[in-house]
Amino acid sequence: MKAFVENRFGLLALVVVALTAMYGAAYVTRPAPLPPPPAGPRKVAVESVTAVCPGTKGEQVDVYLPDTLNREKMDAGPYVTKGPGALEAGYVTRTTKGAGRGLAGVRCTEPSPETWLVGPGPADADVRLHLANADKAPALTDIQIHAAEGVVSGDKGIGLEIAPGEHKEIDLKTLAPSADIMAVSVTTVFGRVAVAARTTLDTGGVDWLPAAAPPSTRAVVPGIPGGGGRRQLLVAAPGESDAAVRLKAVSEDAEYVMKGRETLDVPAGSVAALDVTTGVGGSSAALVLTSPVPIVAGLVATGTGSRSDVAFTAGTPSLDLGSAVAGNRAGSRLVLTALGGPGKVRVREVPDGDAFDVEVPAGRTKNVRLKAKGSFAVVVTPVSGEVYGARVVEERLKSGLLLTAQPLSPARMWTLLPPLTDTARVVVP
Amino acid sequence: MANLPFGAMLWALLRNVVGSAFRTLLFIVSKQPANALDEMVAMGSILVHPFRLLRARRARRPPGNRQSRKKAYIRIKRLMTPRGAAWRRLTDMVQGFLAGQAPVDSAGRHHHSTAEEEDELPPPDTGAVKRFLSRPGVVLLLALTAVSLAAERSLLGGERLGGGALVPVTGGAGDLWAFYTEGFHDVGLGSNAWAPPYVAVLAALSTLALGKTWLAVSVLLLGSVPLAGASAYLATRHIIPAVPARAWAAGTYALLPVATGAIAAGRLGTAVVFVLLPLYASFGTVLLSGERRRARRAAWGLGLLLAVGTAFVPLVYPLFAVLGVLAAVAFGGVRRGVVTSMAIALAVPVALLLPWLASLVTDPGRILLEAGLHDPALADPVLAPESLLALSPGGPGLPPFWVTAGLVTTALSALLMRRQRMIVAIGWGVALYGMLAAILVSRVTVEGARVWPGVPLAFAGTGLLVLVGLTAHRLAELRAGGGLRKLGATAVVAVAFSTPLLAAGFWVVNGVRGPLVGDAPDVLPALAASYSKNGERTLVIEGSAFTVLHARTPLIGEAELPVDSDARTRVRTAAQGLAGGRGGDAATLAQHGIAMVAVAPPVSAELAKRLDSQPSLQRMSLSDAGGLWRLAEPVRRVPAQPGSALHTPWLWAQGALVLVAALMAAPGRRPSEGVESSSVALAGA
Repeated sequence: MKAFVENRFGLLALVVVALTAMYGAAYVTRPAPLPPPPAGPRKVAVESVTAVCPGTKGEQVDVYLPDTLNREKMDAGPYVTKGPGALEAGYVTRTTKGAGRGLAGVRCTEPSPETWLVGPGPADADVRLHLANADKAPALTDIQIHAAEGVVSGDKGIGLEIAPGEHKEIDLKTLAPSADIMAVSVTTVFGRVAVAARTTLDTGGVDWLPAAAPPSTRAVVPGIPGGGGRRQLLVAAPGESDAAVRLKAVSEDAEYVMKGRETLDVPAGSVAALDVTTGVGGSSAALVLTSPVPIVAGLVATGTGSRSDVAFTAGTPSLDLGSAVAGNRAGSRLVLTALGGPGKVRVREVPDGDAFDVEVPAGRTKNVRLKAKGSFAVVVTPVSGEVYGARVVEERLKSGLLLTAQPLSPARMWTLLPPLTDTARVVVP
Repeated sequence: MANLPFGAMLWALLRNVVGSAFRTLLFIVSKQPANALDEMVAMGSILVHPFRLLRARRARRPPGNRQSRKKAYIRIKRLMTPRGAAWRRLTDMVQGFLAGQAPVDSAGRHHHSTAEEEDELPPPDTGAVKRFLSRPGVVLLLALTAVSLAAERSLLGGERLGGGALVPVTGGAGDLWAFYTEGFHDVGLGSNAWAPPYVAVLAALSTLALGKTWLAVSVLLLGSVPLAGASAYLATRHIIPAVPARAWAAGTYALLPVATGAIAAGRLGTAVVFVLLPLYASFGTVLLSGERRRARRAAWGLGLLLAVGTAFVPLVYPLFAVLGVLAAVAFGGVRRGVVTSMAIALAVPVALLLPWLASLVTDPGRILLEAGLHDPALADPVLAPESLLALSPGGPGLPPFWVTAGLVTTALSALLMRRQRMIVAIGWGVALYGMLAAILVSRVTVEGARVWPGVPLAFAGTGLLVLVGLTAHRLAELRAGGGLRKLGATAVVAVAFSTPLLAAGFWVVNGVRGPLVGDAPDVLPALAASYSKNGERTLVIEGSAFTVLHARTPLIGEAELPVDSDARTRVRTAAQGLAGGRGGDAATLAQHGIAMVAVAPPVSAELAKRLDSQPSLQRMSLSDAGGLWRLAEPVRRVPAQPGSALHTPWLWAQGALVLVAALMAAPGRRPSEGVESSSVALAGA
């Protein structure tokens, strides 16, 4: 041992061996370079939700909470209810005589900073816009109406202040008297408002306009009711560029591009209309629109008969988080469309009804009859696939068909929160 | 003073009184109380008997008119010692103190000398400044300062230094002292934890730097390279005898990649420990091989410095303790009292930092962290083994890892020598120990980020440098023999000098490439600060991270205070809900004292829209410089939690301990017998 240490190369050998051993240890323990895990938004339960609808005197609004359905009487002012995240409220009014003959269904919406409504314009219909501020802070809103010529509302709708608890009803004829098709955007500078619009066509028929999905490059308009009657698609391209929209129809039998209606050109800032009655051929369908420029879409469905009723549907996001419709009656059915692959949903009627599964083939639309009696709520929970849908109520009278549709909007049970970490590194540059 | 004119007499009186008081203080500090008493009695005897002075002046008054005393004074004034002589004596005294002598070396009471000194010729009287500048240590210091200034050119002259691990430096010495001594910290969500001890060290240094924290931090961090070079040069004065080898060792030490990496990442803790490490080596050598009284004083001094180092980087203590225990066991048989001295040196940091060390034991991962923020981007998660063996710790701002290959090669070639095997073996032992510790430490993840192995690699570097420096004189002998040996020796010298030159070259050319910047922007808008008069907090959101601030950027050390985790979770959920547009979260935030929400630029339009649409938020401003919203809810003030009752007694005890240790460590009278050179003692063991 002493000889080894005394040897000139002994210590060197020892040190080299030790260094090699440490190199080996460091090499073995070296972790593989991992990409950082993407911090995506996480799903968090919504704790409380406010639902606001414009009130109709004498009517009753259905309020759905998990496993319960209540009915409450309404007054002339807006009806405001607060509840946990799964709250849904809405009602359907039925009028058989007079100018406002028809079924009109409305969903109580949450106040929002941006709302889009697409439908017939004040030239062809009586459109009344209801704005309600249910929060404790004032709201400053801008109303902009896009028509076939572009933005026609000018400065008249800009800077409308709504105090807390106040509501306003605006006849859109004052803002855009000459528009026969329109897309209305109600945005707030601060605060939030709940927006609804009741449209009564001059040619007959009444319904509430459903809120359309905000402008995006892909829009799906589900729930086009089958049967006779005119179906008219309205597409708006807010923004600075023209949109060349490509259309595809997904009906009960096939998924196809409609002949002669492959594309629709929408000038910047305006609304274009396209008659797709022969395109969907009387079958329940959904329309898929893709465009390089963000667009907003809606559809006007007219019922058959000597006196017609009208129903509106609009671009809607898919049923990712589940959906529910509170106000249903006899004659309701679900119109479900699966895109991309086969879809499966679980449907449950509340209060009396078991859950049943519905399978929708890929690229097809399916009608699901809802058999509950009286007024009920229906809850649709997606199991697999990308499914869109709407709830359609039809009643056949001798004078004509009564019709209303409501797209299945995503429930407010969950919300996606951005990942925010608590760290002191915010103060360093 | 009896002969001076009246004005000059008053000035002389003042000068003498101040000088006497100063000398008394120095005598007390250098443990010569008898001389101090003498000095005080001497001065007192003049002040207490003013009539004696008056009588002397009257007796000395020249006959004739009164003006002649002044005329006589003017005539002889230029023959008296020039004014600068007092300053010259002061600088000589300071240099002597740094060289280890007592500040005032008196010849003993009643002028009794123990040894006769031969008459020496007084040295030629060159100017003090010229003498100062021609010393090799000073030349090295100036060269390192020039290199640092050239490399850090992008950091100088900014308003606020910050980035990486360093929170932008704000506040003054008073703020830091208040932060260290207060029981409840009114920051963020409120905390009554005790401030980390390195804040006290920084507060003391800031007080020395005329109250400016930014000056102290800039000198410590940006000037860590010249400071480390100076400390390495001073520390090796008894270890390495040859001056060129000392200069090379000090220069290479100062330019190790650990230093450049620490500066680029804003690691103040590592920078401070880097400057202190050579002092540990020097004090350690004196402790192990000096004579008893010196070794004991060195033990106290080492304990104090180790406490300072541990306060900044807790890892220093276990690393040093292992080496210290091994050395005490090895040398304990040779000299008496080594074990006690080492025990003192290892016990003083524990005694000074007891509560903080206790809290570290309950959360062992924090032993591996250092002062400042812990950012995953500052450490290389997949550190290559060749970097670790080449003393390169990974992270931003480093030269290529092969820059230190010259040092490692030279140290390897020192293994081939036949003599001084012990020194070489010990040096390589320390180096391998440091590298092993670095490998272990760099594979650990604490709080989501890898630990940076800077301090263990600095230990390894110290070992290598000391061993090469101590064996450098063999190179001279090799060069004396001609032919192949001379060539070999020249090659080794070239390789050895390649390391500092390459490191300096890369650093100057690349500059400081890291997150540390000289003008860090204030993330809290001035408007928010002006609305925070009653303790309102501001939630600052930047990208996908947020924090809660109270009216100002946090002071150094405030960001590391532990906060009640319940409150943190609630605030985090509420902040996520607020940014996600959930609704109802503003009330939760207001309950925790948050009155404003600030978003750092760039503000995404989506986030601005969501915050605008929140019913309880009112926008105050939104521009390219960020956005600020105010909560319309009533804000509840963060309640002041009572601090621990032990805090103030502990602070007094800590101060007393520091004073005791400092007094025990201060050098006293230099003994008259010759002091053994510690390197000789080391070589003989």
